[in-house]
This record gives sequence, C-alpha cells and structure tokens, in this order.
Amino acid sequence: MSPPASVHLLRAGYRSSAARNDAAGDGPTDAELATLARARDPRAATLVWDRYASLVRGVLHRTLGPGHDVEDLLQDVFIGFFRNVGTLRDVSSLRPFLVGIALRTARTSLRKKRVRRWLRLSNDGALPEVAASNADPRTREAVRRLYAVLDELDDRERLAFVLRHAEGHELTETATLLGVSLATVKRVLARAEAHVTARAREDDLLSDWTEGTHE
Amino acid sequence: MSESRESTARKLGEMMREATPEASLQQHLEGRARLIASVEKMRGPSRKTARNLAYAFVIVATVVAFVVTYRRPQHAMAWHVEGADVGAQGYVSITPAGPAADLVFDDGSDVTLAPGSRGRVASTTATGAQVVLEQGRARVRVTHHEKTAWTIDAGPYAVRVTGTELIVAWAADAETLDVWMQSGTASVAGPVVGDSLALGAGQHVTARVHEGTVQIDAAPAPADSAPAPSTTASAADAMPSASGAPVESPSAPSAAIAAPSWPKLVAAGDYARVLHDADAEGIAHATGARPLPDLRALGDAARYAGRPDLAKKVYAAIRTRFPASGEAHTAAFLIGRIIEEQDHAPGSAVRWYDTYLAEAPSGAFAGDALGRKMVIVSRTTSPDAARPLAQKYLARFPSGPYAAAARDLAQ
Repeated sequence: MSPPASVHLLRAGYRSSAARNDAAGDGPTDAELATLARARDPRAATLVWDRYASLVRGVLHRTLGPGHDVEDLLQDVFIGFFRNVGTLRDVSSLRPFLVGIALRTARTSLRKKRVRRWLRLSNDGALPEVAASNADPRTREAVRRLYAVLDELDDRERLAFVLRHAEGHELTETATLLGVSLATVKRVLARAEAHVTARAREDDLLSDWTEGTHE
Repeated sequence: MSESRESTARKLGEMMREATPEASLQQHLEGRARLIASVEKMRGPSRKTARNLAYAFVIVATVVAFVVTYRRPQHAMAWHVEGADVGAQGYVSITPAGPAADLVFDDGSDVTLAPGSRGRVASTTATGAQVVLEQGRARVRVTHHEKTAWTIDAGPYAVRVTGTELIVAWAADAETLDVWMQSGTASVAGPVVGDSLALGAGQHVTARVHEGTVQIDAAPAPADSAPAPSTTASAADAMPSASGAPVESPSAPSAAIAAPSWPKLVAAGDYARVLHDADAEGIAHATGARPLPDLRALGDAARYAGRPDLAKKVYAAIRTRFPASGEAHTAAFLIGRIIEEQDHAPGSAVRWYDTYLAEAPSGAFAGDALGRKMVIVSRTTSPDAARPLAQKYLARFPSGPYAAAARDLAQ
C-alpha cells in the first residue's frame, strides 16, 4: 500500500521555486499539491504559493495592465483556489484551474474599473502610476498606450489577446481557459487582433515597437 | 495580412511581458504569510460554527420530516381545449375566420386564443403552466394561488404571471410583442426589455425586437373577437390606441405605479430601468422636462450602460437648462471624457476640458481635466508642448493621479 500524498511530500521535501516545473521530479506534482490542498494540509498554502504566485501575479499584471496593485487580487485568487479546490475534477489540472480563477478575478476587476473610471477618474488605466516597472519612460508610455487600446476591447477579447500573445497559450488552451469553443476563440481573437494592430499602427510609439525600431 | 497582424500582436505581447514588474522577495514572503493566515482561518470549522451547523442540521431534518409526512403528492395540472381541436404535437390553431378557443385548466385558469392564433401548452405543474404563443393573441386569466407560477412564451419573450388577467400578442414576422395588463401584475423578460420589466394594471407595453424599442402606454386592450396580429404587422399596428395613433404621451399611466426615483435606481445599479423609463417617456421629453437630479441620474445611467451618445445629449441638456449649476460644469468635463474615450476626438475633448477648467477652476475634476489635457497634448502634439501643462499640474496636484506622467514630461 503506497503512503498518502502528504507522507510522500514529507519524504521528498520541497525546494521553494516559483518557476519550478511540476514535472521536474524533485518535488510534489500538481496532483499532489491539489490533493494536499483538498485535505487542508497546513503545508499546502506555502507550497502552492511558492510554485504559482509568480505565474498568477504575471497573468494579473498582463491582463489588467500597469497602475493596478495586484497583490490584493493575488490573494483573492489563491483564497478562491483553496475555497474551490474541492470542485477540481482532475487534480493534475491545478495550473489551468488556478489561471482560470485568476482570469475571473481579473475580469471582475476590469468591470469594477470601468465603473470607477466614471465615478473617480484616478483609476482609469489610461494614465497609470507605473510603480514597479523598470522600463524607460518611452517604453512605459508605449505600454500605457497599448493598455489604453486594450481598454477598448470587451473583456473576452482582451483576455483572449493576453492569453494568446502575452501568455503564449496555444489556441486550444486559450479556448479552454476562456471556456469557449475553438471556433469562438478564433473569432474573438481575430476581432481583438484586428483592432489592436490597427490602433497600434496609427500610434507612432507603438508602431516603432512593433516594427522593431524602438531601441 | 493575417500573418503580419499575428506578428504585430506577438510583438505587443512581448512588450507586455517585458513590462511586467518582478515581485520583490519581501512581497513574495508577505503575500505567502497573508495567504497562510487566510487559509488557516478556513481550515476546519470553529467550535461555534460546529454548534451552529448541528443546530442547522436538526432544523433541516425536522423540516424534511414534516414535509415528507404531511405534504400531499402534487400532480401536474390537467387541461383541455374548448372550441378547437388539439392538432399534431399539441398545437391549437385558430383560423382567422374562426371563433376564439379556450384552453381550460383545472385550477380555474384559462387562456383564450384569438382568431388567427396558434399556440400550445408546453408543460404543466401543480402550480402553473408554460403556454407557448407562437403567433397571434391570447387573453390569459390566471387564478391566483399561493405558489402560482405561469409563463407565457411569446417568441423570444417570457411573460411571467402570478395571478392576473392580461392579453399577450406576438407578431412573429414583425417580431413585436404587445402586453395589455387588465389586472394584477406580471413581468416580461426578453430582448430590449431586459431581465424583468414589471407591469401593473392598465399598462400596455410594445417591444419591437428589430427596432430595439420599448414603449409603455395606456392603450386599451383589443376585444377578444378582434383578429390577432397578422404575421406581417405588429399587434400595435393592428390595434391602435384610443386616439387611433401610437401613444407616446410621457404622462400616460406608466406612471400609475409608484416607482423608485431615477437617482435611487442609479444608486442601486439599475441603469437599465432608468434607460427603459426614459426611452418609454421619450428622450426629448425627459431631457426637456425632467428635474436636474433625474437628468444627472439619466446621464450616469447612460454612461454606465454604454450609451455615450445619450449621455452627451443629457449633459448638453443639463448645460442648457441649468447653466449656473455645478452639474452644468461637471457635465462639461464628462462630455470631454466621452468625446475622448468614445469618439476619439482629442481636440474636441480638450476644448471641453478647457471649458470645465474655466468654469470650475477649483472644481472636483480640475485635476483630472488638467491631467487629461496634458496627456492629450503630449500624445497629439509633442511632449514639449505638454511640458508647461505638466509643470502646472505638478504645482497644483503634486500627489495627483497624473503626477508620475507629469514628472516624466516635466523633466
């Protein structure tokens, strides 16, 4: 009889690494992490956070754009994960499950942002305080302009664009993460790409970037 | 073309990745500590929660036992047709020249199909029925019981009835719904009207899917013997109001039912209801006659619901009718925002920001107006041209939301 996953983890020991791939073999697999989380094992929070905080933070940043403090949202995503991990059918799908929660959280934040934009214009995403980025002013301005263009898309188009081009997901993965069919995601992406690229071409700074002359 | 688009999108994605800031070690550790604390709270119910769960279990078990013991089995309601035959697949079709037919239900409710109508009973339960009106007109009399739940499906619309008398007409080709309320209340859900349009006695609503319009008035109901709407004309066209023309009076008894004020509806987030009321009343009338708080609420509702053109119209009306009010100044700023964001007309937006700054130099949106102007000038003219604006912004709003950009420009 094999030992429970928690015992296996204790024996294996865990080396903290946010970028570690669960298939590397020197730590718990995603399925084991999910099992620990389901069992409310006290180590689960540390293990899941160490592995995925960086990834989820990046997804939130790239979806929402600069000017957002994503740390609170990051907490929401992980708390949501621990609340709902019991509904995860395939324990090896921890990563897409977590990214799915991140996307829903980002989407909610985008909705709130739209309302705030009109109520109090300090969080409109159009002119952010780029606190944490190390980019030069010109790049920051280009990024700000790009997100102003993304603000013109609807949420689904925006998420599709980010998943495909910023996160580098394949079309099928993008479709799965958005919960739509492949045909739908193709249509949505085509619309998003057409709009974004057209607006980028009109913009001197963005077109410099896309034509590789920004440096 | 598509390949070039893909390549451009990929480069923009690369830019997004490069611009993603790295979290510091401290951020990572603090975040982890927060998560651990939150998850600890979630782990296992406290003693108090366990006690509450035990109480809840006892209560639920008692209720279930009571229901199982005393509740009589409930059967779906029986019904029959008087004055017509039930055809294939349960359809009841009335010829245009034929007499009306009645669908009679065991609970005392009945549905009268007018000449030229076609419908069927899709399902029944112990407390109601789902009747589908495929074409034509039906008079519905529902006997009210404690849990009455009736639905009349007419095209894409669902009319929910809880005990009332009303007439529903659906012109399939014209895609037009008409409901005349005789007594009681009902609600309509579907295109244009939204999730739940509440109707009261005496009201008549016409919803035209193609035109995307809804009109509420007090048009009288047609007689049962009148022909149902044809497949090419709307019910409203077939059965004109008392004056012989479509009713557009804003003072028609749509106001007979006490409704929450527009500011209250906006505060509750019910923008659709405000817009619906305004459309029913007539935008020109609303902007010309409504008091200032209503106009402010309508403008907000239009903005939040994504109707910028209407919002601009409302703000223009505020400026014309209440030029000395603070709202008139704010309206200038908001028009500028709409023009900048929706119309992408930066020059025109700057003129509105200037108007606001001239009218309300210390107003609540002065920082935002100046900041937006600075951004636009920087983008459309040059950073050099925006520098004086940036310096002015920093002098007035050193901690404002545009301060970082202003500092970049001022350097």
